[in-house]
Amino acid sequence: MMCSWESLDRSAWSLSSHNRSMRTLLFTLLPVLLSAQTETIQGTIHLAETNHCDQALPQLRRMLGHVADPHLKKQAEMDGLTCGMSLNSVDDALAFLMALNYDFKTDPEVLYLSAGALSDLSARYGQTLLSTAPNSPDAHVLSAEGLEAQGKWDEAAAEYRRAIQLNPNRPGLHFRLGRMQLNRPATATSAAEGERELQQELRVDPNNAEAEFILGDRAREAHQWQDAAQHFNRAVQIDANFGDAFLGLGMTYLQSGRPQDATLPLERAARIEPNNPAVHAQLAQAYGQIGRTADAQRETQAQQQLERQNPPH
Amino acid sequence: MRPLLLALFALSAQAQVERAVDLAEHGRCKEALPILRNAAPVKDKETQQRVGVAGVRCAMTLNLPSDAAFFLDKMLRASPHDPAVLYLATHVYSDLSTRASQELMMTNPGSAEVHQLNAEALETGGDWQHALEEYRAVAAREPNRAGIHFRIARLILSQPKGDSTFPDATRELEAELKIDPNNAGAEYVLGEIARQQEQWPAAISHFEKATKLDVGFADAFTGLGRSLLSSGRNDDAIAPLETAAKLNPDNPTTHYYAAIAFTRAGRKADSERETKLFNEASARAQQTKNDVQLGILGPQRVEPIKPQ
Repeated sequence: MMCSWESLDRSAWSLSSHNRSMRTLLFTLLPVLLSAQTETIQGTIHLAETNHCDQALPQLRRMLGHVADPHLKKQAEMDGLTCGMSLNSVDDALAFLMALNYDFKTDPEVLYLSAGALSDLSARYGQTLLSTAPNSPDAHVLSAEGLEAQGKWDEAAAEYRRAIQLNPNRPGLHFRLGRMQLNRPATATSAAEGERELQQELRVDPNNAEAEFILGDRAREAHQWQDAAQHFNRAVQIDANFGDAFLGLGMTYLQSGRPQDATLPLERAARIEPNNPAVHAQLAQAYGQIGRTADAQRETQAQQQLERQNPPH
Repeated sequence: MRPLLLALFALSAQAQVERAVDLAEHGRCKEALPILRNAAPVKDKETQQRVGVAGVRCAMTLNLPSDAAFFLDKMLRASPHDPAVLYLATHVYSDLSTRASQELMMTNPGSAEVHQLNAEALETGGDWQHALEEYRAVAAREPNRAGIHFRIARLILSQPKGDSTFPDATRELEAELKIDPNNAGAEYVLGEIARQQEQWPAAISHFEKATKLDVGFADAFTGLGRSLLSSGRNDDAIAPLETAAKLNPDNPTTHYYAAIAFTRAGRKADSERETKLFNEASARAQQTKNDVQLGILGPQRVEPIKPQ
């Protein structure tokens, strides 16, 4: 059959007329559809907020990503997180947590709820650990950390030692005990034990950059420049982004009268931690000592600017 | 030919994973993370764990919480009771919580949420007086904020009891219910206050409301059952106690009162069953307590007696 221009025009018109009527129908129905959706969402939110999470959660799960109104969206996602937590459905809780932190990143209500939910999750896993494996090294370490946070140093040390007794070659255990002994108010034996434990850690795990860093810092404070440089050098070899270790190395060279050698690690530290005023201060000193006055002035300015932005307490 | 290719593929996948873990352990997380994220599944449990730990650490270093949750989730699915994985999960979520709190303080320093967070931290640290002051500051600033009066009441009740403890707490809980009539916890605590003062009709009314507001609130059903029992309504007490036992079979208290209710109703067999359940639940609770204490404090040992 031949198709005339006229018939094509007519069919095009009738198609566009059909589209027009569909569009009109859609525009007429849209508010009704939207209001029906809003009512469904509000109904689900009401269910969730009246402690019917078992019924609300499956509906909230289906709604995730499909609610347009920002107010309802936030409420639905917050209820999803709360319901996921109360029904102990970690998958759901995490899905809503991610959605909330994507959609309402800086909203104080969302951040507050997130902090609480995450802290709850942490406590749940901690309790599971203590009840399912109370004699494991991990349970002892967890309990030691709790005691350490409360300043109960001797009890915490005893717990760390129990964990070490159970698994002396496990990386991290000697480090934790050593770090705590060096951070606590000093006793007659704490510093010696602290250093001994850090050295033991490095025998167990030669890749522990933090252990190298702490030992380096102690050597630097004791003016044992060679030891300090060795430890800091190992720390930056293990972790190429360890800004504080580069800073420590630079400071060691500077304090031991080697400003030329200090510039390279300090420049590296400044690239890793551009907002650390201490790095710029040290770098200014190093440049000053080798006669690079303009560079020294620039670094001093950077230091002063950072300190103005964040005055030291 | 095919088995050889598969073996080569497995070897190259393994080598890639090893490389990524090595990169991660040397602080090169930006390079390591994409490889770890897309690593083909490995059968060897130890390698699986190393990949997971490296992934979590890198994700936390690069401040990518969703990636951290992804690796953690994989590890928890593979070994849900592995102490090392549980320990890692405890730390990661605690760190993420701290970061969310810091973000809140940085982005909204004067907000009611910051004061509330501060009050909660003070409460956890046992500094009740300052915590109370912070909560009251939040309530003064946002009088219709849900949850604040409930927390104030909880704080009042956790301090040493005096003449004004119950009236003060009751006033706060009633204020809370005016703001949020759906707060089942507030109804429950009001019920407990009334029960401890042997005001049975008030206790029953509050517990009933709590159970209607939250049908899964086992303790509220136990409170209701106990109060009905104490007010002489033995037959009415049975249903809520049975519900409570279904919701939380590990609570010895519920079985204890259910056994009494059945005895009074002349249902000897049911009473004996509940007594047995009470004994079992008590033994389990004691065992858990012992396990945790033994785990934390170590076993009892013979030690030399110090001279007097």
